[in-house]
Amino acid sequence: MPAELLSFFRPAVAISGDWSSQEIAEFYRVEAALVQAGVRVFVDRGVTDEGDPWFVFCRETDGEVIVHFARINGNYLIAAESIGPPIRGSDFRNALAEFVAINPTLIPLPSARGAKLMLHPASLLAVVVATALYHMSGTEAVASSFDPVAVDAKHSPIHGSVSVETSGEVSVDSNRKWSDWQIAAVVGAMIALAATEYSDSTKETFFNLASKILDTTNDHIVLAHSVVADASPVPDLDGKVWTHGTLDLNDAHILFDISILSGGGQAVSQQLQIGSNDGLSQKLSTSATIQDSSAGDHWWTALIHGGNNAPQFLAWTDTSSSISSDANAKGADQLALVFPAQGGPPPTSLADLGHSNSAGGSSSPDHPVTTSETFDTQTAVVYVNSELNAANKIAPLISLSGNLSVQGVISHGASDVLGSALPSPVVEAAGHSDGSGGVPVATTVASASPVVGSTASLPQSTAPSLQGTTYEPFNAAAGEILDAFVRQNTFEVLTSNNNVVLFDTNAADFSGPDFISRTWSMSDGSTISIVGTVPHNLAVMA
Amino acid sequence: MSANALNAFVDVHELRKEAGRWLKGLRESRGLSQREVAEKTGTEYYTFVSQLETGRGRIPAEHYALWAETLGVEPKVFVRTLMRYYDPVTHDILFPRQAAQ
Repeated sequence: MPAELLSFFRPAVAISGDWSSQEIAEFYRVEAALVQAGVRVFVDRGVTDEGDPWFVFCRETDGEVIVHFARINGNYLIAAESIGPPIRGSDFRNALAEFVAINPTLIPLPSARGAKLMLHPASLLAVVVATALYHMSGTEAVASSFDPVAVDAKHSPIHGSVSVETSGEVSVDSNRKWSDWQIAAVVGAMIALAATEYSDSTKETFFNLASKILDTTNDHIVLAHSVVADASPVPDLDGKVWTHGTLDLNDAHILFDISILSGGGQAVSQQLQIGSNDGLSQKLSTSATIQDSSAGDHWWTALIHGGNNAPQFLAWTDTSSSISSDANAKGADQLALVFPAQGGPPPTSLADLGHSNSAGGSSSPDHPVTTSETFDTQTAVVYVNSELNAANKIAPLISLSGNLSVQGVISHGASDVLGSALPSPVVEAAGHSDGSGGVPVATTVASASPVVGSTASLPQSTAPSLQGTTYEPFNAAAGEILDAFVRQNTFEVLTSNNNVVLFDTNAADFSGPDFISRTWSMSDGSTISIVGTVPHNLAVMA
Repeated sequence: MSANALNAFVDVHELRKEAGRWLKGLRESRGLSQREVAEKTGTEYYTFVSQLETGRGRIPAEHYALWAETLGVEPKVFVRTLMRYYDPVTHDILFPRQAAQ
């Protein structure tokens, strides 16, 4: 679907059956990152006779398996023959982290200042694959396993006026040459996946974070692609300090092309956790505004060519919400937004941008955002947030604007999940932001960000009306159904204008007898819909 | 990847797929599940058996004997057959008559 969820790396209840489409998408995303960073790999996957899925990364040169991922009886497994015994765990993220901790070959060490960089799990996955490849390869094999052209600075369109410079002179020691290439490739992949994240609390940009990664070996290491950001602190209305920077055009091209890998309509909601030596840690989240690439251009084209100004990059610290699901993570969450310049002076504060705080109840100013909706005032979203909070869960929020209809996205998503369309036209109740109910179009803009919990009272239902369609008012019974849905399911939250849809992402649910699709109207004219399963007694009632 | 390298890669992949089909046929003829094969051959995770049967990877040499026993094949025949899939060049040198067939 146009806005892809990356639930793979979120702590989740163990599931059975084949990989979800989100999990597969994440594997392929990492494969693409590695290939783009010069690591010659390909992937394959399958399912056992008991239905447990596996996924392998293979060396392109000879087809040997580098690392084997599997989910067996609901538990994840990571196995790389070249390294050691398999790692198992009920949580994929933790399993990856354990794997990396045991095999620190290519992992950045803590900086001299004691700050500890924790990479996004997607980056860890890239590291795991590349590390396993490193271990299974002799020097000669390594040379054939990495594509020097892909990481050769001479071929890079980047011209950095930055502290991390590319260099064609890899190493004077021929015995170390491929090791450096290899590291460059891995670091490139890591940076590619993590570079859009930003650290503000430590007064560092992702640029400095990249430098930190490269400095750890005390050796001359080549970064596959450098990134540029001219960051400067910007105070907000509340006195907080944000980091605001302008991305160089060429570097924005590279940064976003690699980071989000050609888009393909894929929204990204990644988190990067950093910690400082004072014991605090932070999770960072990026909401990248994207454009469906089906029009022929990369989605970032709009960022780069969307106006006379360079794309703007803004990050700020937000203490009003808590994205973290990690009890040990403390401190403020930092949100970042990338958006195309619309002309005129770049924004210098959240007030200029409008702070799209999906948690609701933010102390931040409530202004509209250029490329994504602000839902703070929407009763339905607030209610969903309250339910999520009560259930101690998070769910990705996908905001749709332009001509993208919720119905279109759900139909597309159902097709993606099920391999076919929904069993019945159940989502007409979701409403059509464009009035046509058509499928997503190329010019559609979407953004994604985690929904986090907040408190809200049960909304009062009143006049039901949407595009001439009347829906049942939201009431206590509807609240009970919604509450059960939130607690029971893994789902996405899709929003379009005033319409909110909770979309069950478990394909198995769609064939169950308790699969329902319901829409209710809310007091402010918005609608809330659920598409998925609820407990049987409620399904009957619905 | 050069044309020659690509051809070699395709050949290797096809041979591995053949090996996978052969192993799967042996397993099924013995009425064994993939998990049972994994247990009998000392394979740490049974998804590896599925991976092999798909044509990815190969049986570690130190496990050849256990695999042969599990699948009911005389070890020398088992290893020779595997070599034909895993290392056809060596196989054809060692067993030119069989290779010619």
